[in-house]
Amino acid sequence: MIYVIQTLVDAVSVGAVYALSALGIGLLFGVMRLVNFAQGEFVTIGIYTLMLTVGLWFPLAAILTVLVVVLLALLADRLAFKPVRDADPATMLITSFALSYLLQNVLVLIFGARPIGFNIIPELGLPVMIGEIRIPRLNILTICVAVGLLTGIALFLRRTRIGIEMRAAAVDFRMARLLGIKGDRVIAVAFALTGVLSAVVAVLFAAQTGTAAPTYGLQLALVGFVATVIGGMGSLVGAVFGGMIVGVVTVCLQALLPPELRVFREAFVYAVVIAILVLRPDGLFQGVGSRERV
Amino acid sequence: MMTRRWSTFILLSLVILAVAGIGWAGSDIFQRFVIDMLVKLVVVLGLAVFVGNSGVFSFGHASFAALGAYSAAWFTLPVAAKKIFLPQLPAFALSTQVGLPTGAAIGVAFASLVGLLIGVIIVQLSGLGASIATVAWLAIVTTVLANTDAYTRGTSSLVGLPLATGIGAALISALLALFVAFLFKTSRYGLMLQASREDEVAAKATGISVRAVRLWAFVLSAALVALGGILQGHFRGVLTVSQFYFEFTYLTLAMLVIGGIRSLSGAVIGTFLVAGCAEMLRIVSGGFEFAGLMVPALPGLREIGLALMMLIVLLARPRGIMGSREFTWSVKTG
Amino acid sequence: MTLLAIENITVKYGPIPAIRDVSLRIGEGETLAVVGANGAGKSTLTLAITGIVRPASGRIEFSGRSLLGLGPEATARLGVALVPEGRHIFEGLTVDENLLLGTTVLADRSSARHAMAQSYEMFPILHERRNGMATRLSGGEQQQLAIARALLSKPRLLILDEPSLGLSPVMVDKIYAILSELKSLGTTLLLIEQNPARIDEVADRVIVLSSGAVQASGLAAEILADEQLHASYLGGVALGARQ
Repeated sequence: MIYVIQTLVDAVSVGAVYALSALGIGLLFGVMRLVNFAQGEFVTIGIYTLMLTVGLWFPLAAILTVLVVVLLALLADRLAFKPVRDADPATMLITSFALSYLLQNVLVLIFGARPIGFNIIPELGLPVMIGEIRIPRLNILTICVAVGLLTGIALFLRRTRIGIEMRAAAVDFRMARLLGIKGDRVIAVAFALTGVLSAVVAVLFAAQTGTAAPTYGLQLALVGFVATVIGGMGSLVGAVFGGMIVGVVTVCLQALLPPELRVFREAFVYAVVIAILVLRPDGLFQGVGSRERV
Repeated sequence: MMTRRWSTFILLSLVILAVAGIGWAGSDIFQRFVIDMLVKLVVVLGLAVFVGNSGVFSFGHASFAALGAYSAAWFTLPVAAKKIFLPQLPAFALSTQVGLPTGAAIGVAFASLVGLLIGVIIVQLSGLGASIATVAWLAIVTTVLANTDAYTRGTSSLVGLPLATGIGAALISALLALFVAFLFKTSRYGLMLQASREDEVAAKATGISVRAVRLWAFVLSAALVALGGILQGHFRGVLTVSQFYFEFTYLTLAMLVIGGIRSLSGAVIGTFLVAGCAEMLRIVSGGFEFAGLMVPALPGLREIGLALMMLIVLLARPRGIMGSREFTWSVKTG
Repeated sequence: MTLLAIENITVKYGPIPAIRDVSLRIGEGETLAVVGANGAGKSTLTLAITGIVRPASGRIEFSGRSLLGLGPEATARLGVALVPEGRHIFEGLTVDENLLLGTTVLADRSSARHAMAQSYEMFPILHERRNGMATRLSGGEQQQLAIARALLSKPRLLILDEPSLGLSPVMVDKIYAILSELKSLGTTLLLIEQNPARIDEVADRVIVLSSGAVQASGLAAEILADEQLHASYLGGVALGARQ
């Protein structure tokens, strides 16, 4: 029983990180039909920023990380994506692929390809005891941060004018522009939000692993794709749930599968993705009332 | 009209022959560079058959290179090596050894069959969905290959493949790939697929079964990419699963996109240009001494250069260097 | 005073021209109807005016200012509003949120709030449903929402693309009553319709479009009475006939 609860908490905290990652991917897909491979590198660069600022007071380091990644996301929009925005989705896709490769190898050039260890706040590793259940503080922090950030973004999308404009642009970009909504601004805000999400993912991921390597982000970006597909491409709520599901299922498979099958865990997850793409192209939550179809 | 059409094929064949000739006459190191480039050309032409004609980007074709290379190696590895490295192979494979041509035929057949199975699923999806499915497919194949130690040695490398890919084999394969890609592109099916690339709805309205045509292109392209993977394996003598992952995907897609996906001349030019630049960047990034000054090794520089090249081409000429033009006798035309 | 002047515009999708050499003028406060069969190029015309597609040649001037190359945002800010074919209500947004986005081009919050109040007064059904999902509205209600949303920007020119398409006769009555009211308030209207049955109620002048070119233009009464035109370009629908 104790093991089950501990595993569940673990699963939810992994799911929370995946949900944030997926929402970042989902936002840009919704607003501009961009499948952004480079989001992985937004996260990776966040991890390295944190590594460089690790000596500083932690909240300051975290804020710096957010600023760097948001700036990076805005620059990516301006320099790489804006020029190809009117091209077909395939061109944007390949542009993001090239940008991802570029950023990843800039990191290799500066820091080398090997993982570098660092330690943010050692106390985070200590568990909290609730009765006999040991829960690492980090897991609690992760879940709280994710819930807080998701709530904040939900409020932003529901209550602010620019948030409503973003939801509208995600459903029907052309109609939004016909009403005078500035497409450039909406897209820039979407990139900035993606930057915030990536930076937070970076902080949580770095706190968990305590290492930085140039390829870490790619894996998270792939998880983000998977989650958005499961949740329905372009549905923001769906992306969050999709991320959560992937996280929970991955951890549970890890715990439940016999060791000889455990190594094929990811193959199962990706096979499910293909199946959903074919059988339920609008995602698993098709028809749920709260869903925001894009 | 007929000669004009074939003039592209003949011109490109001459270019490939010339490159192979220079490689044959050059130093050992240079020859290895040319062989590697011709092998990449086979892969890029294979990609062009699907991506170029359909306009749907595939990030999953590296899987067919891997499947082809491993399944060919099961038969071309010397029996003694197999008994050491892959003792759990089925008996009939364990006890036979065939040459590269037969091995290649086996590998291509196997990869094509798998391509047909996954292709049936992928062609159900439209543009972006199909691209994402190919990413997932590559992840599946890589995970499976990296963990089926009995057939691939898992994450360790499989060594001892006969070094059968010489300049001759590479040249013949490149010409064959060019011929197949050219024949498909100018065939009725190829033209139908190109029509669907420009306007899927209109193409469907004229009665084209986009799915069926896309499937044939997918399988054909998987076969050619598999051939490229087999050649690469028998060129390096070593197979690793990571050899056919994102790095491979990136490099070959860059070659195709930079040259222009709509043009076979573009595929050839893009491959040679990117391979040439990559080689130069590789030499530079390996570190060198210049005027008594030691320039240290700069890992990643080669990849950065390639990525910048690709981004610049995408921003300046989204349709690649050649656009949809081909080389012909007279002048370049649209 | 001419509000909108289009001179010899040609719009191409790829090599194929969707409209060829089309010219038209709309005066301040006037209602112009463009009629024509499916595929005549009517919607392309609206896309060209609103800056979504760029004409290959020709000029488009709005109140003396060229609209070419401005793009949809800037065109909207100059005072051109479109009620597109198919309504394009934002799915997943409430009625209120849909309307709020109509006020995007207004200068400040208080004028936006004031405009919203006015709009709810004019369309009581929308006020009733303001917190519901917009896509839950009936077709006719959605059409009212689309018109209300466009009006919120206080446009100098309102373009309506097939506003009565797919609606029940009762709803068509309702929509045309709204159009008549707008006309009496002095709004300049460009009305695009495939079915010319009702346009005599609002149109001052009519242009007949076929195969992307202007086939006839003139006062509404004259054009609508011309049986030859009807038979040739409007699928033989009797003019003035009520469904």
